[in-house]
Amino acid sequence: MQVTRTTEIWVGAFVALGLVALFFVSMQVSNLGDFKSSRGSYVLKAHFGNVGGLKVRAPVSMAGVTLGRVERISFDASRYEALVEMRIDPAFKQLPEDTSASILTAGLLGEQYIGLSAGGSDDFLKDGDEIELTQSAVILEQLISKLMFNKAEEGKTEAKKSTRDAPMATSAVTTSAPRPIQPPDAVPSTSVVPEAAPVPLTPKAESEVQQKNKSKSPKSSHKASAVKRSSAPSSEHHASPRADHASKKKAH
Amino acid sequence: MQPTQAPDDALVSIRDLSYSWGQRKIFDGVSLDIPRGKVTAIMGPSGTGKTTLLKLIGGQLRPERGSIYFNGKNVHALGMDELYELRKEMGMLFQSGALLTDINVYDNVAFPLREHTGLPESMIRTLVLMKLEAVGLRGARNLMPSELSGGMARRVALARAIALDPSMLMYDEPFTGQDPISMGVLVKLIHDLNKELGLTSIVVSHDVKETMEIADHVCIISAGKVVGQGSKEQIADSDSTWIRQFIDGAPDGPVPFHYPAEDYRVDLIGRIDLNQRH
Amino acid sequence: MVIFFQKLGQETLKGIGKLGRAVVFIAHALTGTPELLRRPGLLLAQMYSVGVLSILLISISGLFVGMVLALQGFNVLSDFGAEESLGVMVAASLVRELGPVVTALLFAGRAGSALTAEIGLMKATEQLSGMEMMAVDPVKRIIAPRLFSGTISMPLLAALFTAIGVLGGYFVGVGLLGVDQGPFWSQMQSQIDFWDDSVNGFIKSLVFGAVVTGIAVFEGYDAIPTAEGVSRATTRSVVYAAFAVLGSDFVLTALMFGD
Repeated sequence: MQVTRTTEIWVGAFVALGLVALFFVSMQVSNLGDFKSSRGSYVLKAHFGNVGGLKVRAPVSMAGVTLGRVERISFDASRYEALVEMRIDPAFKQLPEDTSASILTAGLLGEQYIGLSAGGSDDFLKDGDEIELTQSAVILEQLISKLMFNKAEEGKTEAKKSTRDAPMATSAVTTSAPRPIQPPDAVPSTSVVPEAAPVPLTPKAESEVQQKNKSKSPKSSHKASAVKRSSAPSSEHHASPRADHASKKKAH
Repeated sequence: MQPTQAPDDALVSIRDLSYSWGQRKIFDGVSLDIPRGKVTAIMGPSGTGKTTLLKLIGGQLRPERGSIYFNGKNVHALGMDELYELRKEMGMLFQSGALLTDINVYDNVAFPLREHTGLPESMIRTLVLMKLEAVGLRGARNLMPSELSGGMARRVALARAIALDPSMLMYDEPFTGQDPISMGVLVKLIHDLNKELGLTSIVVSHDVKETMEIADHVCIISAGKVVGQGSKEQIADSDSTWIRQFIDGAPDGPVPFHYPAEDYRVDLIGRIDLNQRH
Repeated sequence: MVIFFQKLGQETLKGIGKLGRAVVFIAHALTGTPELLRRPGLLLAQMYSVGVLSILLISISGLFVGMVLALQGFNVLSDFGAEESLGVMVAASLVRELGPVVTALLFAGRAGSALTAEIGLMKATEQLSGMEMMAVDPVKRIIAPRLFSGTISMPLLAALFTAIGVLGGYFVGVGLLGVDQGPFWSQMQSQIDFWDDSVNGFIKSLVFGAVVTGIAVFEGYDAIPTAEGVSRATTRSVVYAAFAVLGSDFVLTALMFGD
C-alpha cells in the first residue's frame, strides 16, 4: 500500500496537534511550568511537632509567593517529631538564617502548605540547613476540645453543672489526637485561646512554636516550650492565601 | 490404487491424510500424488473438502494424521518462517479472488512483489504490467476490485498469484459462477500458463467438462476417500459406477438422489395410519 | 441442575480458550514489531485512519464535555462561594478521569468498531487467507500496524480531548459565567500535579489505547467469517472494549491515586 503525501501531512498534523495538547496539559494545566529548572535548587529542613495534613509536593511560600515544594516528610525517631525537607528554587537563595516556618492552610478546608517568614539575620540559609523556628499545624479537634475545656474552666466558678463537661473534653483530647483534620484558617482563634486559658494544657495537643536551642536537649525543649510562645508568630501569615492568588494572577 | 512410495515425478505427495471439521470427518486416510509439470484435477461432489485439501497443502490447516510433502519437505513439520518461505513456491487462486479491496488492481498485483522482493518501483512496474498483460487486463490496472466482474477479479488474482513465479499454482473452483466466455478465458489461461511457465497446477472443481478439457491427471474424492485416480483417459473410461455417475452427471446412482430419510410414504401419511391398514 | 453446571463449564472453557487465543494472537502480532520499524509507512497509513479521522469527534466531544463540566461545576461551587476553583474542578476531572476514559469509549466506538469490521470482512472475503498463501503473514502485516497505531494515537487523542475540554471550560467559566481568569488558571496549576495527575492520565490513556485496539483487532480476527459473524464481532468489540476500559480504569485509579 502506497502512502500518499496527503496522508503523511495529515498524520504529521495529527501528531503535532497531539503533542501541542500534551504540552498544554503539562505546562498550562498542571504545575510542570512552576519549576523552570530544578538545577541549583537547594534543600532546607525543619522539625515540626505535628505536620497535620501536609503532603509531599505542597507549596512552600513566603509572602504568598511560592518558593519551592515539600520534598519529603519523615519521622525523626530521636526527637519524636516530623522532619520536613523542602526544595527551594534557586532564585530564592537569600533567606535569612532566622527565617521561621509554619504549616498553614489555604482557605477554608484547603490544602496545607508551609509559610516562611523572614527574620532579620544577615547570614543566609544554605543547602541542608535547618529552620529552627517552626510552628506546627493546627489540628481542628484539638482546637475544639481546647475551646470546650476553657469554657468548662470558666464555667466552674459559676455553675457546678459545667464541671461535668471538663473531663469529657480532656479525654477527647487524648483519644482524638492522632487523626488530624484540615483545620480552618485558624489564626484568629489561636491567638485568642491561649490568652483566655490560664490553665496549662496537655502539651502534645498544643499548637506551638518551639524555640529549639541547640544547647538544650531536644526532649526537654519539646516539653518545656509548650505554651510559652504560642501566641506570637502567626499574624503575619494571615493574609498569605489571598496574596498567593494575587501573585499568580500577575504571572499571567 | 494407493502407492506408499512417492513416485519421483510427484511435486506434492499426500500420505494417509485425515482431517475432521468438528465432529465431521472430512478426510479419512487419503493418499495421492500430484505429478510435476502437469495439470491435476481434483474433483468430487460439493462439500467433500476439496478447498480444505488445498488449505492443507498450503499449510493453513493442520491435519490430524498423515503428512503432506511438497518438493520433499514435510509441510507441517516446518517452522513458521520456513513455511512462509515455502509458500513463495506456491500460488493460490481463491474462489472469490481474495483481492485486497482497498487498493487498485495494479497495487494488488504489485503487493507480493513489494512485500518480498524489495525491487525498485520501476522494475516492479515492468513486472506488474507483464503479469497483467498475461491475463489480458493491462488496461484495467487503475480499477478498484469492486469495479471488476467476477471473472476479471479471478484473472487479476491469477496475475497476482504468478507474480512471484511460483512452481505450483492451486486453483480453488476457478469456473464456478462464470459465464461461458469468461469460463473459456479461464480454461485457456490455466492451460497456457501451465505450459508456458512450466508450472504444476492443481485445479479443484466440480465442473467436469471444463476440467476434463485441461487436466492431464484426475483424482476423484468422495466421502473422505480417494475414489479414483489416474490419467484423464483412465478416468473417462473407468467402469466404476460411482465415477461414471459423477462424470456423466447422472441424477441417480451410487450417490442417491435423496438425502437419507424415512420412507416417503411413512413420512407423508404417518406411521400409525400405515400400521392400522396392514 | 446438572445441565446448568455443564453449561457453566462449557462457557468457562470457551472463555478460557478465547483468552488463550487472544494472548497467543497479541504475542504473535508483537513479533511483527521489527518489520514495522523497517516499514513505518504501514504505521502511517493506519495512524491516518485510526487517529486523524477521529480528531473531529474527539475535539467536539471534548469541547462539550468541558463546557458542561464548567456549567455544572459553577452551580455547585457558587453555593460555597468557591467559583474560583472552577478551573481546578474542570481540569482535575478531565486530566484524571474524563479525558482518558471518555476518549477511550469514543475511540472504541469510532476506531475500534471500524477495525473489527475491517479485519472481520478481510477474513470473510479470504483476504487474510490470500495473504498467507502469498507468504505474507497477515498478523504481522495487517494486525501489528493497527495495534500500534491505535496505542500511539489514543494518548494523543486523550491529550487533545483534555486540552480542548479545559479550553471549553475556560470559555464557559470565564467567558460566560464571569469567573476571574487569574485564579481559574493559577488554582488549576497549583492543584493539578504534573507527575501525579498529567502523567498518570497519560499512562491511563496509553493502556486504554492498547486495550481497545487489542480487543478490536482480536475480535475482528476471531470473527466467524460471515456477514452475521462480523456484525456480532463488531458489537462485541465495542461492548468488551467499554467494559475493559472501565474495569481497567478502576484498577489503574486504585493503583495511582489510592495512596
